[in-house]
Amino acid sequence: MNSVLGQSLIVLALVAAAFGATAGWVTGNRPSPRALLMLRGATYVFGSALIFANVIMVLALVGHDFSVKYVSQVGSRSTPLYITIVSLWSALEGSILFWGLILGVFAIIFARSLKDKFATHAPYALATVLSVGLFFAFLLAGPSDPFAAVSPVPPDGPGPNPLLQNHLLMIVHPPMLYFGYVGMILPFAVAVAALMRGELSDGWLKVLRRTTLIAWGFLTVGIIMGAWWAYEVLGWGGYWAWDPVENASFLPWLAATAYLHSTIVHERRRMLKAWTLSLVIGAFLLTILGTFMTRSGVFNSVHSFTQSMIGPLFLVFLTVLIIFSIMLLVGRAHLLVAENRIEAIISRETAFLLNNVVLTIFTFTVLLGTVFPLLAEAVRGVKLSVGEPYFNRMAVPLGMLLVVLMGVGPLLPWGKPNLRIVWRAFVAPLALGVLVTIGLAAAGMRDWRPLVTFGACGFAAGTSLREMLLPFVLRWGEDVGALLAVASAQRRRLGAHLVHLGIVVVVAGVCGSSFKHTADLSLAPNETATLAGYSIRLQGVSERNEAHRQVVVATLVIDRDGKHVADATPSLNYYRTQREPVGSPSVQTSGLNDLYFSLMSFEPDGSRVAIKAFVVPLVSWLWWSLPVFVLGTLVALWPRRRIAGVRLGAARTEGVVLS
Amino acid sequence: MSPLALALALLVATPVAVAPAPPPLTSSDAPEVIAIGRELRCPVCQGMPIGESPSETAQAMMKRVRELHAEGKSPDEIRAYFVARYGEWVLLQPTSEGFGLVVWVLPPVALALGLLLLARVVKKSRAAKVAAPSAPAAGGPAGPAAAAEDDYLQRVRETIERGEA
Amino acid sequence: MNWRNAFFASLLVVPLIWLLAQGFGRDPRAVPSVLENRPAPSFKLVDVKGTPLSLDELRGRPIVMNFWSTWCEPCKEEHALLQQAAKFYEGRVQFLGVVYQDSDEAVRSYLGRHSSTYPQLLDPEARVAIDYGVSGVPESFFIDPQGTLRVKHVGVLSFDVLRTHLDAMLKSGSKS
Repeated sequence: MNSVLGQSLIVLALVAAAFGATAGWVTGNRPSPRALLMLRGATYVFGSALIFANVIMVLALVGHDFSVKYVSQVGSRSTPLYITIVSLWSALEGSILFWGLILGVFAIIFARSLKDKFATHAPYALATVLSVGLFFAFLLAGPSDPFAAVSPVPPDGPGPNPLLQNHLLMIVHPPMLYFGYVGMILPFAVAVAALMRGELSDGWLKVLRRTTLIAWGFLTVGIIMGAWWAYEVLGWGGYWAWDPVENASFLPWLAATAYLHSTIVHERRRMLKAWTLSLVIGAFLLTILGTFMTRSGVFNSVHSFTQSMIGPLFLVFLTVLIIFSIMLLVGRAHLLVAENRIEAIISRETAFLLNNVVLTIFTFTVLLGTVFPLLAEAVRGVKLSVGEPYFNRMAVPLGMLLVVLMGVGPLLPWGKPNLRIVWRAFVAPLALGVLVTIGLAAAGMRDWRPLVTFGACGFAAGTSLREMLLPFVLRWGEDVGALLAVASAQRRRLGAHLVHLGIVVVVAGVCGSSFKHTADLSLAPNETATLAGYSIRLQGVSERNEAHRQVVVATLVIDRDGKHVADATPSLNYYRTQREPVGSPSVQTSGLNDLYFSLMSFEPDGSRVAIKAFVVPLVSWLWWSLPVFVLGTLVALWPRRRIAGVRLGAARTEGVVLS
Repeated sequence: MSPLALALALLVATPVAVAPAPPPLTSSDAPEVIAIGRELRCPVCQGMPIGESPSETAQAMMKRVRELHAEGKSPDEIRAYFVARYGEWVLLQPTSEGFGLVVWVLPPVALALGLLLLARVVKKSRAAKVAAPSAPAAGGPAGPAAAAEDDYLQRVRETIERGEA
Repeated sequence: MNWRNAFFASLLVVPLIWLLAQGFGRDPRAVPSVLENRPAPSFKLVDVKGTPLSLDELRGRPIVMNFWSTWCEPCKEEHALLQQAAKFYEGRVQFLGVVYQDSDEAVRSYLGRHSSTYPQLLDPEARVAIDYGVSGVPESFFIDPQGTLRVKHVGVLSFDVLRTHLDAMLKSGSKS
């Protein structure tokens, strides 16, 4: 019953997408209200069908309907309820269905929110969204059908991968990432529509920017949450391994970040038009490439789902998209002419261009490193590995360049600078950077690498703080209404600088955590070991039984300078369906450090345990950046409210906009 | 000894005096061993370094690395030991000989090219005669207004910069 | 539309797609051996009964070295085949089993139920596994009578594969 229902809904989505896409492409150049109505209708049917298909799948999972193929692959009677629901996205076929859900939701919201003034562009935009949706619906209907009927019906299933059962972040990270990933379809559709119609009005540009920012925001949150999940679950005190699938999510992020900067130049100075649109299209293409990398089995990865027919299909789809995009961009390039010119070498325009160069090279390097093993084997027949050491070596200088640019760029004016005056702006941020460096050196830090890094972070933070506070400082003494008006007028800048601060926090966290202390401990009950000034005592080993697993827990008591700091309970989980136990590390934050323990092994009688212990400085800052990013993105996206009565004040305030 | 110095000495001395000396239950690897542990690939894992993998093979390899290090072998020799058995694949960053050189050379070259391109774009743009912002296909009515606004804002900014402390 | 430029720009796509397609059909985890046609790494190990055995003692006959574990299902299926092959080539070829990443009790318990006519060696520190570049089980190594490692076979053996490699080594061995 569930199988048939699910499959029918998929077919409905497929038909709606095919119908809508065709209608959109055909009527794109001669938009009519009727055509638009049909398109919107098709989009609503497409989206709803996919939403309901997902609901059916969740019901099948919860109801343990093992006649449905996907449920028989990941379902299990002994798994707790919330994990059962969440296993919707834990394996290949389910995750494509989940992708369809997000696409459906976004398509509906997009179709609804397209105002009538965009009637000229809406058909092409919706046609693009539905064309991509058509591909995914096709996958779900055929090669990757999670609703296929299984016969004979097994009595129980293996349950989802235990690694995915260990942590609450498993619930949040994939959806966030998918929102970001799938969300990139919308700016792509907007860009395609602009190119097909040959015009990019201010209003449409705003749609482009906002859809990208929303997708970017989700992607940022999704990536950091993925790192957080890896950190909490995998047991090695690390959070980013430059795994091909991690890179797959990072590549579109880099491209989208480049876009968010170049679009400012586009809007302010009417330059870099073709380049800006290329970045948006590139970001979307990278998400499809990333999906290919995850699902094709071509890349060796912790995340990889198994090899199947889906790989070649994705490659064909990617090829079609790339060729289509190239033809569109090259064909319409002559319409995107710069209306201004760069006046001076030292200017905000140049800073933005530098930002784009660095981000583009960063994207290129990560892509190169990821596909290089494939290249080496294809060209030279030799098997090579490109892993963490390489990517870390490359990322550090590029990252540092970006931090410095974050500090310098916003202080430079548009057009032609008056260098004497510009120099004044640098004083406070530079002072902060120098202060941070001196302060750390005085506190005993001698290694030049973190000194330089934290100093640069201080400088960039100084710039962002200055840019955020300056408008308020200038209007200090006036009433709250006026200050709010300032905030409202400045919300894009405020949001942007909040995000910059988030990046500074991340860079500081990455730098600090690279100096983690590690030790292998071998403890009997009541024995104490020391690491980095913390004393660690084993209190005891215990065991507990749960429905789907058996858990062995070691209790550790951690003190510092004689004072109790924390209790840690790293454990090993023995799942009934797995040979090897899965470790659950214990992670706590104490001041600037994280205390991280993994239970490696234990004597059956509890007389001794082997623990891997880490003291990781500043790593919690990486997770603290999340609220900063969310706040910054929300502030930047906040819609303008017409505050009557402050109009006059607002007009005056507009004149004080500094960027 | 001044009272302050005595107090400080006691502060430092007290933890040692009060806590019983624990037996050495902690083993930390030498920095070279940790570094090599990050550079060698665990053959049975998905691209993880042996220093960070819990698998038995990785642990056995780390043990071998420690033994070789204790014997006095240099990091290069230890790496060569594993390459002789597993091939270059076991190194997580390609050596600079052979095809692996490509992956080290291309990014800096690309960066240099990018900067050169940037310089050219800036130069060309500065020299360009700007067309009248009238192209209806790609622009909007806000074009010239935005430019005027930019100049005004620029002057306002300069005023503020000057007035600022 | 500037069709000609667009067409040529599209051609840039071809190498990228070709590259990505290269991965299909290839197992990203299969690693070719660098030890083939080199002297087989020597070793001295103890078998489950406690008898020491070294590679040098076995020179003069072709050797099949099979790495396996009790937790590896395909290895256990392969076990029956290897016992049959050992009987078939008795006196002409030396078969050896090397246990990979396993506990002694599990191995003894398994061998108690499925006996082995040829020596089963324990490799507790994975020293020999590392020397032979083993990255998974089952893996089998064919060593010729002169002590040169000829072939590394990844995965379950079949009788055809065994016969191909062993007959070749036996034939060339009898000439020398």
